[in-house]
Amino acid sequence: MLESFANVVRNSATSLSAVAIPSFGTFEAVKYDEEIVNDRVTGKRLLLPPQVVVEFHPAAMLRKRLNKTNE
Amino acid sequence: MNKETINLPRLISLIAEGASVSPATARRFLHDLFAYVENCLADGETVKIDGIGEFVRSDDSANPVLFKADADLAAIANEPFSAFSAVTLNDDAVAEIENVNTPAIEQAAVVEEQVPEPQEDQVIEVSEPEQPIVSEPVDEIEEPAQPEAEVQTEPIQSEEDSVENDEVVETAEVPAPVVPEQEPATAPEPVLDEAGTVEVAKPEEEEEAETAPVENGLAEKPDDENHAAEQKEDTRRYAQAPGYRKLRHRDYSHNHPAQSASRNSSGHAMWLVLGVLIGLIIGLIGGYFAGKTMQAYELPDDDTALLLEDTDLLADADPVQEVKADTIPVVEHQAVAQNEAAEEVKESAKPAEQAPAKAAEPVYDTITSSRYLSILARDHYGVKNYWIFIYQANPQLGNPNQVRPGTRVLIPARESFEEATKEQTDAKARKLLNQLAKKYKF
Repeated sequence: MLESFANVVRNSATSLSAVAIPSFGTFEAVKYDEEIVNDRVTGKRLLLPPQVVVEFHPAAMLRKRLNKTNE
Repeated sequence: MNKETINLPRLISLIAEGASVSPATARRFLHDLFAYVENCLADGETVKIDGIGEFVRSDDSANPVLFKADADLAAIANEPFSAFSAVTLNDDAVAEIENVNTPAIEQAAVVEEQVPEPQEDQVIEVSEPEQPIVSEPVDEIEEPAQPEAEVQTEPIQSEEDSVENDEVVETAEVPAPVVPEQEPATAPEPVLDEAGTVEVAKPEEEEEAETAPVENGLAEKPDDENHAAEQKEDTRRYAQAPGYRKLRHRDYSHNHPAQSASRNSSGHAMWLVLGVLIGLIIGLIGGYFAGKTMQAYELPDDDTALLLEDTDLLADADPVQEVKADTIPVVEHQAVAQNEAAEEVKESAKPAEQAPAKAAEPVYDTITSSRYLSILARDHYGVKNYWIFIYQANPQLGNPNQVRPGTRVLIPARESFEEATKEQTDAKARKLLNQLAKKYKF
């Protein structure tokens, strides 16, 4: 069952869509464009390729509950 | 963004379907799973779910959960771009990249919008029979992705080539009807022959299909450097990615230095031309009115007539001398005394004709901005100071320093004011001038 859930998340990641779990958060695949970044250490300029990153955004409810327990 | 979100009911049904359990079980499973994860997070623990990733508790209240995707999941998500790694650029490479990236990406974006649906079908038809022939051992994950990538790349490449030579595009469209008629086994062969550079690469492996047109592009543009070629290749590969369609098309023209410079310069030129035009129009209008007013002052109708009169006067003076000159040869034969007598006779005869004419018609002249009273006096009498007599003959003038141009004045005959000697005339003029100076305080 866990595997099938992972599959759903995987499929959504490949199609750049999101999986929302109420009161917990959203798994989201975000595409970043390629960009030129200055490396502070070497001073060289790097061309970063575009990439798709799976991100998780905690829901407001989860944030609230976790912050409450933190206090 | 029209990002599709899988909501809870759909997620439950998907899980139930995938794990072949009842939806209620899937719902309970999800509930328990995330309740457990939340509890662990509340305790400050790190939770790792296989195939999903790690949830780490952080102290940041705005973002209390840090999520790190599982390596497997991250690799799958990033699969379209997995071939790339960060490239170190030379310091002077930026301009090149912008030059190369801008047209390629813009073209790709335009092409994607323009690609008609039937054309995609054609390409799919062509590519489908290839796979059994090639019979390459391909990963299961890649296989579904491949046709999609083909569909997207083929139109793009053919379009890009069409910019350089139209023939290729025409031939590229030809094979579509050819394929279904022939047997699937032999189908690719004629396609290869007929199609140009693009189709030649098709039955080969995917990598070659990608690189071949790029190399063609390189050959046709020899001045591109290797670096530029890399960038071009990169941008084409990016275009293959399934997510590329959703890529918001940036307006690179803003960042493009050359383009923006040319736009600026053209704008400047436009403003310059506009300013010059406006200046010209204003100048013309102003000049027209100024000329009109000046004409009103300088050249009234009778002015020219009076000038002609002046020349007549001069001409009147000349004939006397001419007559004298004429008479001289005649007179030479006679004695000197006779000569003098003859001259007198001639002179008396001539002025006799002219004097009545002069007395009959009074001389008028017009004051202009360049011909004022003293100049008139100099012209008519040879003495500037005699303007006072002209002034006296024209009582309508008022202040002699404020006579308006265009005023017509009577030029009195010299005899009317001339005294016996020049000194006396001058003294008279001076006296009158003094009176006038007292009157008008100059």
